[in-house]
Amino acid sequence: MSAKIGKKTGKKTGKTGRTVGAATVAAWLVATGPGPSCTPDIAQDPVPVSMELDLQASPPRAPQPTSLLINPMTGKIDFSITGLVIPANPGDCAMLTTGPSAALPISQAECELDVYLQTLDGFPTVTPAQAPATADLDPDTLTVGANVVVVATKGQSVVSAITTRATSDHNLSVRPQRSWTLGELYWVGVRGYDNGVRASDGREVVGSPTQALLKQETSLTCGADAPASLDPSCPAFALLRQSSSTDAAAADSLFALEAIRLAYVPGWQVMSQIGGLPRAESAVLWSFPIHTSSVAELDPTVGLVPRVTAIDEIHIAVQGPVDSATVSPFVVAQQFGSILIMDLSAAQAGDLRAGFPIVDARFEPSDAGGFDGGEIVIKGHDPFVAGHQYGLFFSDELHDPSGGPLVPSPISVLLRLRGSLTDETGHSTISTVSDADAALLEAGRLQLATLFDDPSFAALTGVTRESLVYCYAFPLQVAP
Amino acid sequence: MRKARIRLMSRLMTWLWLLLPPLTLVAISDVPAQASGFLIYDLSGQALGRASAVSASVDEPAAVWFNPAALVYQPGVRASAGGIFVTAQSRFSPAGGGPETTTDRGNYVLPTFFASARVAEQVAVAMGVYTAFGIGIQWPDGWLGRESTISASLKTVAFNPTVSVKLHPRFSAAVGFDAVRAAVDFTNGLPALVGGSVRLGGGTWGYGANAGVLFQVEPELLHVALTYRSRVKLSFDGKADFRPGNPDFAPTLADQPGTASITLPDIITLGVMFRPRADLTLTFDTNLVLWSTYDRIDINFVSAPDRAIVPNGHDAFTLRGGVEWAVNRWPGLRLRAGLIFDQAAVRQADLGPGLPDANRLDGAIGVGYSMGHFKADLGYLLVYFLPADATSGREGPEGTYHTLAHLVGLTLAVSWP
Repeated sequence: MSAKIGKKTGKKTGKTGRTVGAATVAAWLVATGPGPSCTPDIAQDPVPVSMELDLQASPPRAPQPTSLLINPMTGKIDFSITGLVIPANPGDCAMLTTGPSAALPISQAECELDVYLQTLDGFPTVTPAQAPATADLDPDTLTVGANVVVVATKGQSVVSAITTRATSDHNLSVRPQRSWTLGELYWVGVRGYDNGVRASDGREVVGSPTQALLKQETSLTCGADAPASLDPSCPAFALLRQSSSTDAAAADSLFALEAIRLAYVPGWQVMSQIGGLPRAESAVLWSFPIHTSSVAELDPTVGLVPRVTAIDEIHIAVQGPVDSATVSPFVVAQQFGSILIMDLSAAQAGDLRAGFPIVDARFEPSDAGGFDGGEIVIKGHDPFVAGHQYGLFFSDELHDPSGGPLVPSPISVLLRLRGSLTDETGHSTISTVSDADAALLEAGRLQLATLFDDPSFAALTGVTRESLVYCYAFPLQVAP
Repeated sequence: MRKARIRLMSRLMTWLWLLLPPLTLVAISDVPAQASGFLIYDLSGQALGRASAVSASVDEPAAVWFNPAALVYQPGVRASAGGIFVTAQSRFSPAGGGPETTTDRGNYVLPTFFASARVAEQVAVAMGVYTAFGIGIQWPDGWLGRESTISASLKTVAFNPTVSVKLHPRFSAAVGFDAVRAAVDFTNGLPALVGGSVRLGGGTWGYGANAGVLFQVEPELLHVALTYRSRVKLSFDGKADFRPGNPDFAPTLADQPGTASITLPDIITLGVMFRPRADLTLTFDTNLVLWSTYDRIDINFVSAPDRAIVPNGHDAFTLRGGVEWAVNRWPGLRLRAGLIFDQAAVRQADLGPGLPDANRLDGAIGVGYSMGHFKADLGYLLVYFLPADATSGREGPEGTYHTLAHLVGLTLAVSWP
């Protein structure tokens, strides 16, 4: 009775009513069954897993970080592109995110983090790249360089020093073994379909409709330069009209997509020519730039933490050049300086003299080839106390040779926030920070908040939340 | 004696009715419609030969369909079985030029079964199982209008029990109940950037009623008939099988349940029979089919974009004229002929390839022979669809549809006594 269609081949295995003979056979089949057997047998196949790229979802389901958040006019990260207007002053976040008249649909902490991000001309060097999928991915298929390809555009090379991970919340996580390079633009491609990444249950992983449109090699607007001149038969326009409330909305979406498609053209090129990942095999492709300002890097998950090389010496990694003249230690009652180290254990015990140990500080450029940066070296006049909790604070008096201040690393920013990193149920209040990380950081944030909220601390040290470019507290232990 | 005969007839009827469903489920079939829209009006070989202009003179069990009020004038127990063989093909010429596209030739057999028994002088009961509505069309997969239709199939089978009562020697009336089992199976192409196709299918039951009256102004000389068949709403619960050519669209076009509804139209028929000579019967019928019920089909999915087909059907007339000549030289032989003008149910601006409707001119011929308790009737109908221009491009590509169909109907009937 039914014309069953073979899923794989798309060819009919029977043709209803093509011939009298077929109709007769079909009639016999019907006659042997009850009425409901007249209903055609419509195949219901499993849905493939998709690497998501949905910019209109709320919140957007798209890879992060992404160049799409860079304002082409200012060259900086700009969340207003997504419709989220973040204030310039982090102090305004509390008012805009809490209470019945909250104007922003995000937490105070996330707002403060976004204020920081909007000061950058690219993403932080320690930001993990993430791409959402519709199901858990098989970690064994996330092969670096084969199925997950990262190309550094300026370096014109495939980045092999990365690790990939399938997170429990359906994300592919890609992070450098150390950190992304300042000023670099990265393209990340994920191979899908027959020979690429697989879901944990073995299903094929494909792209998304948006990605399909961005893969198009010809103009999505069919050459039209304004919405008014769009040809209704233009295939992409015809497609978007089906899912848009109005033709005008479809046209607006189409022109926005066309701009992105054009921006993707060099990406397909580098990914194909350098990364060996052809457009047709790419389930998702995206790019993100790294900011150009020097940064004292901090990311405990990859070992980017202060390195205690001797009982009286601490090294802090900096990516990018530093003006040595701006590297000056804090000396109680003499100079604020740009480098402050506190023995938090001693200070908490009421010993303020021991709480602000006298140190020297200098910048040591790295002699490792290809790495632009070095270390801030802090040398105590006296040995530090093993087992004591120390706090390290760098202010924005620390500059690079061009005179620009260093920018903070995200964890420093998280530790200096006013807003809580966890909600009353213990969940993270920041979408890009996991619950576990948020819980750990919240403990440190609360500890440091007692300092930052104390006016005498700022008066004594010159350090405020806003001036901090590095902030970390740790129990001092000499590396063996 | 009379009571015994009635009991025997009743037992026969029970037996026939039990037999009906398995025999006549075969009637679920899809065809290119042969009356306006997707109505298949011609349900017997005997009627087919007279262009189905028979509502005022039907003397076979198929009166269940044509005019059940006539059943009470048919003595004894009667049954007929038959089939209409349909073969049709459509062709499309694009408005902007370019190659024509032709559908696969559709060949279909529509079985019918009717049975009636006059259980009392004034009362007859009957049952009919038949296909009165259907669509069946198959365009090439890659054709210009694939996004509108690649294939379309609507299959129905109606179960129609009827009671006919003689209210006066010259006047009878009848009522019936329609239970319609229907199945749809549509395939259309997905948008060009997506590629591939989607197949939608489902089944449902719908219910309606019918009634008819027959007035013998001058018995065997002048009869007038009026019949009505109600609309039947078919609310389909079905499934969609999306097969996007571009796999990137597969996650958002998951196979999923869907719903749609189609309302079969009301049909009002006015018929006249005039017998100027004992061996010559002239008949004329007018159908008014309320195709305005076929205005919009909303296909709703769980997550995929909904789709609407908007044929904007309008009420349409069909004019039928028929003649039957009883050949005196060969008693039992009947020769028949007829003509039909059938108005399209869908306007040019709303025309699409799923139902390339058009005004039609039909010519019919037929022959019947009866001997004792048995009768055989054969009819042929040529259906010429006038060229129909699709002008808006909204429901399909702009261009002209041409369709030609042939129907051959054969009915075998038995009566007792």
